[in-house]
Amino acid sequence: MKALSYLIYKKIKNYFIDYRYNVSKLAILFIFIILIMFSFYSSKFNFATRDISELYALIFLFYLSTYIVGSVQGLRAGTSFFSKADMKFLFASPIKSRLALLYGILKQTGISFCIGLLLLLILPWIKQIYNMTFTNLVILLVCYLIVVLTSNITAMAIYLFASDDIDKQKLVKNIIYVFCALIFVVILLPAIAKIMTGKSILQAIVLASSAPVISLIPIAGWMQVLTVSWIIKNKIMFVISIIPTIAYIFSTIIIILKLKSDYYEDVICRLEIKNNPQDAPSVEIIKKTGLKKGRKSSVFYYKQLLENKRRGNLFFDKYSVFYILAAFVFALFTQDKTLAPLFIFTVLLSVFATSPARCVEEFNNHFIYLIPANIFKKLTFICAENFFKIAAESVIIFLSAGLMMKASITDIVICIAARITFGILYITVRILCEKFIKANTNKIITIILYFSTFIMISIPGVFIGSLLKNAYPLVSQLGCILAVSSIWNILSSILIVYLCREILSYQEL
Amino acid sequence: MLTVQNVIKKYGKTAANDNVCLEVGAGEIALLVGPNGAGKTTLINCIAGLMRYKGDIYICDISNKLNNAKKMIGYVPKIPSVYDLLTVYEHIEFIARAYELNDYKDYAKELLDCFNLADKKNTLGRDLSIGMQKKLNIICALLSKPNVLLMDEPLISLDPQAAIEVKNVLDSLKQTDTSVLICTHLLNDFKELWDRIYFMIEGKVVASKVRTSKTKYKTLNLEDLFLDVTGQYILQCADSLLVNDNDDKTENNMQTTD
Repeated sequence: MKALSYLIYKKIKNYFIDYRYNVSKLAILFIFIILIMFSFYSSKFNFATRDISELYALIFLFYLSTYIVGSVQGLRAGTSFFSKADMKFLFASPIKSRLALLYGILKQTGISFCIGLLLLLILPWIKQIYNMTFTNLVILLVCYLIVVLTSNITAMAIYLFASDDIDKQKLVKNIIYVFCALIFVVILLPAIAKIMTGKSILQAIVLASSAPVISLIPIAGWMQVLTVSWIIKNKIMFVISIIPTIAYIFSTIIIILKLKSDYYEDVICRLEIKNNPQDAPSVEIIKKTGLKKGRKSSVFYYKQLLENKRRGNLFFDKYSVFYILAAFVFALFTQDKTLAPLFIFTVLLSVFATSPARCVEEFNNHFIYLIPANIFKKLTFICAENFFKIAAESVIIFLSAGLMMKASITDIVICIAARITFGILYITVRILCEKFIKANTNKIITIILYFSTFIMISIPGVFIGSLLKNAYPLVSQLGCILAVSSIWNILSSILIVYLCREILSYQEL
Repeated sequence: MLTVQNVIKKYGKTAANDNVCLEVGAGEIALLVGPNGAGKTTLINCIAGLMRYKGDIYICDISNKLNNAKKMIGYVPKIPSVYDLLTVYEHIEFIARAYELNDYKDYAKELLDCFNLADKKNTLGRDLSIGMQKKLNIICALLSKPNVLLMDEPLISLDPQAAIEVKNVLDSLKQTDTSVLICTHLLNDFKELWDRIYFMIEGKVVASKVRTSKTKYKTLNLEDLFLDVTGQYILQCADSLLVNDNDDKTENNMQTTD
């Protein structure tokens, strides 16, 4: 145990010492603090308070998604608890395997919780909009930590149970599917019933997600009840929800301890496969093969389509699905307003939630630079897949939201067009930023650079648009601003592509 | 034919390539050797058109910055790089389409057989071992029948059988007038193939040798030669430092061109 506590202590200590030498880490911390301060400051503005039952529904959905996504990791990447260094040093040492497991769980929980600290950015907003106290916010965070912890323990249990047996993996998968289907039914059926009685979609979903039956759902339901009982100061509910949670944690740990103590081999095997694919016991058999279309630069576009197919994406990838769903949920909350908040939300979210631009992926491979074709055409074709996806996302989001909000056809069409142009601008901004980013630049810094550059370039268009917002009486003010912004975005994109016209001349950016 | 004239490539203030000149004639195999950090990979990347540089590089008298020159270059990177979600044969189809090759199928089959990848042609890039990825990179580089073939450590990660195949292919390329530039540390693996050898140290080509006949230097141990040249260079640098200390200006020229 001494060795493990020493390892944890040293890792944490060195992590903080590293701030003294690592400018990028320091910059991230600085930006994070500024964002939190900004978040607290902006929460001072008077927002209209909303029904707190909305928050209860959101908490449940958030905890549920965290729990399921975390637990499923046990099927896929059980090795995420351990690094290659752990394998070399920890597993080879005489430290007990169960203690090593505890170390792995603690490490993973710490990482997940650090990611959860991003919640701090929206807590002031939640505090203001739902009239919450500080202690309520703390409970919300603590419950999140418990959800993360339980999901990690569950993932480990799943991993130990099923890692060496495909049948067991199928069984666990089926259990997870049934669990998800049951929750879907539990929420969806009452929601439909409520819609039939004249409630709005949002009200129906909120009511269904706050129904008593939800409190029976393991972890997510229990944690929702725990948070709610703290907020409404119901001690009995608090105790009732905390008992099954503690029981769950202990029983899962006991199961882990009973399952296997010689899990090292499984972890090592997984790590070996991950790092040296040639050692993989089996390789995927591809039934349909062939790159049937494309010539010169267009071959990149068809290659990307083939890769999408291999990834199991019909048209949209998981990022796009999440993006569309998030936009739809946002539209539900703002359906009493214009399309403007939704538009801003989708543009900002696109920076963080859309899939990494395919063009950036292509930059990492030497073929794009070697192939003798016109650079502009190569650039266009590697961006084409992204462009079509953005266009489809925009049509789905704004057509459905526009019809729900009863917006005019002109506004819907302008929103779709403007969203596409913002998407094009974002792709070109990424290309522009690639010229300045080193290959090993921190991901968060990269995203901040993308985001700030994107905002800086697009703001003049919005500004000019707001000056001309009354220029065409036939079009709404929002329509005017977005139309002018679209023209600005297209012109800026062309300029950026022109400036970056040599980006595919050299791999060295 | 490959001509490199006064190529300078700097990373900040450090010159990775300092006024490099070299030439590889049609049907010749040239070795580019030197200690780690000598600037060999940088030079190969400059010739492949992957890096900016000052100076001139010509592929069959066409600047390598032009698209027409790109058509004539085949490049095998040191660290193999393939598309994870494309099968082996789809990589070949991809290259064929990108380079607009029409009659490539027989040659592709020949190369796949030659490198023992025929049974892996429906395997995804991500499921290939590093060695297999390297073989695939070599096949992709050879597929377009380039006039200039650039290979950065081509034998690293390859099994002995594949290494022999690479050498056989290189030997056969001599008949097709392909100029081959190989950057390697495994000197004696190429002792029967080389026509020219360039020694690079600290970004400079400090020595070169041309083999005028196939039998000449047959018994020459390239590793010994390498150690000789690098040793001499280090001694010469040490001498020049001493000379500079004494304010005595002496010309240093270590060209051992045969």
